[in-house]
Amino acid sequence: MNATTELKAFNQLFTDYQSRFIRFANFYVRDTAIAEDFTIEALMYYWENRHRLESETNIPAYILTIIKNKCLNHLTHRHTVENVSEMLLSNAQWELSTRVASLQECEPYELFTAEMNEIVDKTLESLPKQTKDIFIMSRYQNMSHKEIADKLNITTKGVEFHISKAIKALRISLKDYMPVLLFFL
Amino acid sequence: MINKMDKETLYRFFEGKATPEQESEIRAWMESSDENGKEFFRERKLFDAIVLLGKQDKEVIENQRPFYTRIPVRELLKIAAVIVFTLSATLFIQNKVLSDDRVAMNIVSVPAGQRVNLTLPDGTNLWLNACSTLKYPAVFTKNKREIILDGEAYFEVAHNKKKPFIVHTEKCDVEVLGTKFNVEAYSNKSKFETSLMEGSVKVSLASNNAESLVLAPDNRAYLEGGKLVSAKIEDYGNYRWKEGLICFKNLPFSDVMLKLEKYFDIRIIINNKKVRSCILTGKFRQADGIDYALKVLQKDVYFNFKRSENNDVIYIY
Repeated sequence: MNATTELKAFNQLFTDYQSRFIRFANFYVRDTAIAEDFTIEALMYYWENRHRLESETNIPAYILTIIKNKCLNHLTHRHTVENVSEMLLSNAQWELSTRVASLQECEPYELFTAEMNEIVDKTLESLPKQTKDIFIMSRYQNMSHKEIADKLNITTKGVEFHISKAIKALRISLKDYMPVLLFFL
Repeated sequence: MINKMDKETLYRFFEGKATPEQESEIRAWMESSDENGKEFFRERKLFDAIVLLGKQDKEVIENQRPFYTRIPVRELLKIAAVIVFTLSATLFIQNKVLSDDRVAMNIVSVPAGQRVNLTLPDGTNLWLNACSTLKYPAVFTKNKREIILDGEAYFEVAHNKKKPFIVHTEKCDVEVLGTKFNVEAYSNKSKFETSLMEGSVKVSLASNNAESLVLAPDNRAYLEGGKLVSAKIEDYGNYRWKEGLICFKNLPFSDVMLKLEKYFDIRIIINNKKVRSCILTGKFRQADGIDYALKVLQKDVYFNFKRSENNDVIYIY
């Protein structure tokens, strides 16, 4: 791959994945600025180290792994897991501990597979056009509910209904494929 | 033992939008059995998958807008090909399309000695050369796709018959339908040239759109005495800047110095009459820097050079 093609491919990676990564990180760290920083840092780290990777590396999974680790470090820095009785843990601490545990369970290389992508794409295709379009506008184009509602001349409640419908369908298709979770201690 | 948990409530929890009551509900449900705990993490994985997966629908990319509000510039400057974003402050704060006339504009500026590759909202891919600035809207809303260029860029325009793509530069406008072409239009220089590789473009004067010229592939249009003239492309090496190369074929020394001035944002004054007309052919890597390039030239051409005190002029003697 010559330098020009490489740069173009990296640019495409940015375009395809940046907003999803930021969204994912934000659901865990609950801070948009930090989510953006981690995502950009991870993409740049990949660019600087790309020559050290094996040629068959799953690049989105690699980058997500970096983001996952940055988020985990950030969360566990603020939250020391101690042997406190569950009754005494405040709700906020418990909530944070579920984010840490969920993030630890996250497996980038299990997520970014061709099969998983295919299931998502197929499911979206099977939806009625408006439902599919609304979901794409919300998730892949970062339009707010109000913006979508204005553009399509429907209510925000209508937008929420369609997004909810798409998520339900995706959940069902993906559920059948997901490997069974190991016992969480 | 609480058996069922509504999935919608769980997903609101993952988004951070659950009420305190819902949170307590979820906590009680999770803690009431191991199976519930496992189910919590299963659902979280599904949630994550829905956030991350799926291909972009190329057709609808047109409306994509940047998610970020700021980028850590220091991180980015470490890389050879880098994007320095300056988002137009007043418009972007509103963070949405207000009306056709007031769209948030993005500005990309490339420093000296570097180059950048970027993709516009409609899927058009382009390369920006050193010391160039590009202004483009976050969304192409009107029935035209218009951008503003000061500097040099190479375009691979996404086909869209319904929306012509127009590059505005200080001296000329270039209108295309779907094509590959190079535009050189630095506002601080008198030169304007556009070269066509594939497709078709119409070039016109910025001051008078009626004065125009249609180009065929393998040809270039340039300004001479205020008029647009066309000629064949003689040296494709001129467009290899997007690979980071500065190429020249049978070019006089003074013209090679002009190229170096362009890429490295520096003035070069030639005080040596003999070398000006030496004809040279060669290639330099932009990343190696101007001192390296001059030292290599010294192997074939007899001259010396030194920098001025404040470093922004090089004297050849």
